[in-house]
Amino acid sequence: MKSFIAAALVAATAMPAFANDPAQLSDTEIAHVAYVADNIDIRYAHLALAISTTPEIHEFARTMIRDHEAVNEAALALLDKLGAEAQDNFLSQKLAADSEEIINRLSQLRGAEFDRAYAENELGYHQAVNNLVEHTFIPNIDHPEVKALFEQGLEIFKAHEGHAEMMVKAVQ
Amino acid sequence: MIANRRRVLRLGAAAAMVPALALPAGAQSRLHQIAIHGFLFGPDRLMVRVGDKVRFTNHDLAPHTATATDGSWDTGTLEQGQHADLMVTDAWGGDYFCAHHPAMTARLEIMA
Repeated sequence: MKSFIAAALVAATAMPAFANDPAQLSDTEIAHVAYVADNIDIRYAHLALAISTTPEIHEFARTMIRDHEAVNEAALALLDKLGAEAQDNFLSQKLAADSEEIINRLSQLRGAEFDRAYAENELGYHQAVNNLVEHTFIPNIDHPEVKALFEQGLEIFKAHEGHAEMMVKAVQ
Repeated sequence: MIANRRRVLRLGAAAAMVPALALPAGAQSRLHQIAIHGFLFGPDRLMVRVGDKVRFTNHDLAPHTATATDGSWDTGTLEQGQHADLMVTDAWGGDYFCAHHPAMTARLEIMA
């Protein structure tokens, strides 16, 4: 299964400057995208725990839940400290809508077919989100503490990308 | 505090694993520090003696563990800022990893 979100993110980052451009999002909109992106991966992980019977998939899924919840908690704490609220935006909405389609497709699969699809989706998703965070968000974030949080997040998500790559090979 | 209670429980468990440890005459138990930072254990190679203590401190936002590959010891999950003090026993295996992020590996060289 290709990652539809990966395709959506590639398309979004290729938009011209006057259209919906991820590079033009404010810090609080970027924070919202991160929160939505974390929650999407948490949802995928819960689906994997419900459907897969493979221990390695379960361990990976639990790590996704643990780590993405930690990032969300830190993001909410930072926004609270700054007296700001995350702002909904076009990219958050697109990610959420596309993830519904992926959840619909994944939830119809079972056994090895599910494991392969989940692992491939995780790899594609993390690759796409990491690309967005590293090359579009971090260079455009204004507040230093928000930037620092995203840099910490990117470190985590790059580890996830590597782990997903191992998992894809393991479930072939 | 959960962190303090966890630390006490771990030290208690470690002490229970070492009922009658006799250190060589003149040997002193040392406290070694291993920092978990940037998805790495630092130092990733450390020489320790049976009876020494090793303090694993997680500085990362992501929760980590330090878990012996052979299952002989385990810090459990450490949140950011938490640490675990474990006492080295002669039952310890030297190779370890993070159970949540298995690409993170390191080794203790355990001397008697």
